[in-house]
Amino acid sequence: MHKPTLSNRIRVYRAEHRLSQADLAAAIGVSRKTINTIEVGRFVPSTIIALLIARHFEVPVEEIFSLQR
Amino acid sequence: MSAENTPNVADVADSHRRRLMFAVLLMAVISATRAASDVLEAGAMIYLKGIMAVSAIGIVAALATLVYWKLFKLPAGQRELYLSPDGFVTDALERAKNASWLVTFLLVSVAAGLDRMLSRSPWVDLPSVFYFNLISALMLGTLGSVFFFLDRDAGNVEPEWDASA
Repeated sequence: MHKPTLSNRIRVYRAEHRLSQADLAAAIGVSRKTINTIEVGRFVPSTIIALLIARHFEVPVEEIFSLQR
Repeated sequence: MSAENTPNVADVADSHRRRLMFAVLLMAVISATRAASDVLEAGAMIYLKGIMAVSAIGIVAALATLVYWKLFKLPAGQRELYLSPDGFVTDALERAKNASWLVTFLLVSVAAGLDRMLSRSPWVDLPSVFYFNLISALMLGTLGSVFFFLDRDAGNVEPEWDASA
C-alpha cells in the first residue's frame, strides 16, 4: 500500500490573488521558507497552518490541500 | 518604519535558529579540540588553543546578536510568533535533534561493544573528561550538520510567481 502524499494549490491561489510567498507568509504569521517548502511538497504543514492558509484565501481547506495516492 | 520595511518576525526567528545551530557547530569544534588535546602531543596545543579561541569568539558573536535582537528589537506583541514552533525550520531542528540522539546512542553502544571485545582496552589510559568531550562533539556536531543538511537550499528560490516582478 502506497503512503498517500499531500498535494496543494497554494501557488495557484497566490497567483490569483497576486501574492508573493513573502506576502502570504507575513499574512498568516509563518516564514517565507515555510510557505515555499509547503508549496513544493517538502514540508507537511500543521493543521493550524493549513487552516490559516485556507482562511486567508476564504476557501475550505480541501480546496487547497488534498491527498494523492 | 513602514509595513513594507518591517521584517517578518517568523523569518527573523528562522534566521536566529540557523545562527543558534551555527553556534552549536562551533561548540562541537571546541569539544572535539579539547578531546584532541588529550591524545595529541604538547606541540599541537598552540594550534588547538587558536581553534578554540576563534570558535569561542564565533559563539559569542552569534549569540550576542541573537540576544540583543530578542531584548531590544523584537516588536511588542510578536513574542508568541517569534517563539512559534510551527514551521519548516523548527521541524528541521526537531528532526536534527532526533538524529543526533540516535547517532550518539548507536556510536556509544558500538564503542562499548568494542571495548568488551578487545582484550586490552585502548581507552583506559585517557581521562574521563576526554570521553565527555568526545561524546559532546559527536552529539553537537551531528545536530548542527543534520540541521544544515535538512535546511539546505530549500525555499531559497521562489518558483513561478513573484508579486514584485
